Amino acid sequence: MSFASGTFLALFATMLFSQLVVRPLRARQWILLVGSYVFYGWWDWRFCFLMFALTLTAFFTGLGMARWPQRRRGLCALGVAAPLAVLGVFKYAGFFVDSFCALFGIAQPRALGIILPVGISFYTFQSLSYTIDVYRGKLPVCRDLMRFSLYIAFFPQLVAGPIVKAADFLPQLEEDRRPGRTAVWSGLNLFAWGMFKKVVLADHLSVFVDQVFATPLAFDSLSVALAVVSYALQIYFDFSSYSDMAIGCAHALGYELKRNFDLPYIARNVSEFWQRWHISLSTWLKEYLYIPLGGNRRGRARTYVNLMLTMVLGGLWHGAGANFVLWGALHGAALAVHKAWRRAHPQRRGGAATVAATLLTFAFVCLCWVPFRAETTTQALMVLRKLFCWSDGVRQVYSWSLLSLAALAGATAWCMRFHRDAAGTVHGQMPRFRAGSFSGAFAMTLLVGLTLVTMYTGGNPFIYFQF
Amino acid sequence: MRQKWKTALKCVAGAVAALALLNLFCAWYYNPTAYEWDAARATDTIRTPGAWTSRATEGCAWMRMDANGYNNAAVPGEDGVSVLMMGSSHAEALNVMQDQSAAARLGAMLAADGEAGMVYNIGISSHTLPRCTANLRRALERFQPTECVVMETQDVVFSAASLASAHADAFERLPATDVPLPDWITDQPLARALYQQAMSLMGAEEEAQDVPFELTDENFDDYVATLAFWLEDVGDVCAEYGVTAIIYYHPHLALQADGSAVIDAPPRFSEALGEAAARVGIVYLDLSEAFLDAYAESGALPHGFANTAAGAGHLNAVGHEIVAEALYACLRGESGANT
Repeated sequence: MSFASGTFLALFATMLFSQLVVRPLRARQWILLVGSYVFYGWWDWRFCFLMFALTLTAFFTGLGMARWPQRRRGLCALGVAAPLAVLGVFKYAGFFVDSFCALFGIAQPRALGIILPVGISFYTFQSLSYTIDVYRGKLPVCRDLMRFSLYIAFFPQLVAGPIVKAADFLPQLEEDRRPGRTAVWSGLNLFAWGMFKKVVLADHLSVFVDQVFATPLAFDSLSVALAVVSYALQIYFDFSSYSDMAIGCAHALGYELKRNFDLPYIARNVSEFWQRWHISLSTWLKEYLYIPLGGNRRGRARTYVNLMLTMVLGGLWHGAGANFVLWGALHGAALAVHKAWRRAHPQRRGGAATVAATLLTFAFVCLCWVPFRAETTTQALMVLRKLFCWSDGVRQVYSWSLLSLAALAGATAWCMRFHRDAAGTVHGQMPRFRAGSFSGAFAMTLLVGLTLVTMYTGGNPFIYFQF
Repeated sequence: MRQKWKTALKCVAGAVAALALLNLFCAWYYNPTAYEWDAARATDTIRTPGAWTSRATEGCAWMRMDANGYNNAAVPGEDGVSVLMMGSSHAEALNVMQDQSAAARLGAMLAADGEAGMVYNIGISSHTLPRCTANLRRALERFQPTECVVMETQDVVFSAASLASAHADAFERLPATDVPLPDWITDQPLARALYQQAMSLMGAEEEAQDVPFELTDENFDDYVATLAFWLEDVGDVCAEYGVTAIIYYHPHLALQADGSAVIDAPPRFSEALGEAAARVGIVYLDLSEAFLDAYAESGALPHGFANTAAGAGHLNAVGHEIVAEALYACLRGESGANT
């Protein structure tokens, strides 16, 4: 059940209505829990059992650590290993068996045929964050199974994030958070923007990107370059739209999720890019992987190794494939290089140097998207060859790419003008329409109408569902 | 209470203003004119005569339908029609500007040679080749072309059922209106665009395809004979009206991973249609080679636009140009058509 479907809108409307009319908090949370499982079971009802099993594992691990503090370490190890083992089987078994067979030239007996449960990477990481935080003593143990289940299964962010930390969400479930009129309006406002980015911009871009990546040799170098940039825009609009819709839905229902994107393509370096791109994942990797590995506390060389390892695992989190490993490794290497550069050149430059750094970072990120998007290494190499060796072919200056670039540039300029914090850092912010006003109703109707009229009707699932 | 009403009124006013603006936007972005039944039934349907139409969803074009409800700059004048062009949405050419359509370009080429008669386009969406042949007699009767009638097709695989319907003129007539709503609503570009989007989402536009079959050496002659039996009527009608019939086939080019392009339909079917046409004295133009040559020379594709997948969908300006040039060469006896 995709956000961009009538079924979801019906479910969301039901959930919203129930939150507005039902008074007891517990009843409202039960409704949300049942709705979340319906949402998830819509893909395949068997996945619900897997999610519930992971929920029980984390829940009882937490209770166990509270009950037997002297065995916390062992219980935590078990509570971390079990979800990772499940993730490994469902997501990586095929990849490792294939790689092993290829390495040793063994003929594969037959395909494993394991279906990847949608969103498993997201809720596995959520359950891990809970277990580790309880072990670290940062979070009190949750003793209410229903609330804990709702934390894991909360439908707005269930299948494609943001990855919500237990410390951020469980306390909200303790409070009686009835959605008010303003919250509903601003939640719907954000949801509408997300929908526009997904079904109008990202989905139209996919038409061009899919074709060029399928047949790169047929297109001229300029078109291939435009397709690579288009993919950078597509994945941003696609993924950030899901986050916007998730945050908007949750907000309308009375809950707050943290932002997941913050104008990533204005980053001046790769480190800043990861502070602006998929923030919930980069924060998770930093807190639960990079820092436990030693972070930057064990010398320069070890810092670089830790960065590399974190990003390679981050790449592998996206999918079981050499392309994701390569993508992660490229980012890891870039982070290490940037760290070394900052050490050698601590002073910051402004003006033209900032613009050049931003463009260079954007170019690097775009190039890294090539192996990420390509279905095979050969395809990635063909795209790169077309990029770097000028050649003729079909010239396709795709109008949706130009329109999307203009839209992003306009939105960025607007944020640079109106959304700087005290330190001068620019933050992304969707325009908010004023509730109960002529301008608000006008803008909202215009946005929804434009979305309906210009949306791509070919249907396209969210890219991050596959992760 | 009064404040609530005031707020509600403001919101309604805001929404209405936005709808008005959206309506204007749709008039530019996507405003397909409605269908009406053609009283003379030269085609099953026509567009609303004189109506403005726009299409920025696939290609980017705006034009006004002529007084007969077809996509031409004007209706035939005193000199009448020299070339009548029939066909589907490709021939109708709503995705390119009016002066870029194959009919307009051919008309300009012939006019430059001093041809007095008009090239008149009566292409209308959904009018497949079998349907055009079923309507042929009425079309010739109404427009009386002096030189030839040109029929467009992108499909060369025909089922026995569609050929039988064409032969017996027994096609169910295409619906006159495609929006089951009152006129005052369907007159609004916004309503039409929304309806079209809803239909696309539901996949209602997918027409039943002819059942493909395998054409082998063994059944090739039989299939050609079946086609010839159908086309015999076309030849007879054209002979009766003293015009030459031309069928042109414009296949899709499918881009390959190695950078080449191939015709995505089996060539045997086009051969069969060409052979059948030759038997009954119809000129058959297969544009496969012309399209492949254009691709090889400049990477130009005859279908697709800057806002759709390259090579997919309707004929673009390049495609219309190639069609016009091929027809011109054929009319001047310079082409390698089959007859």
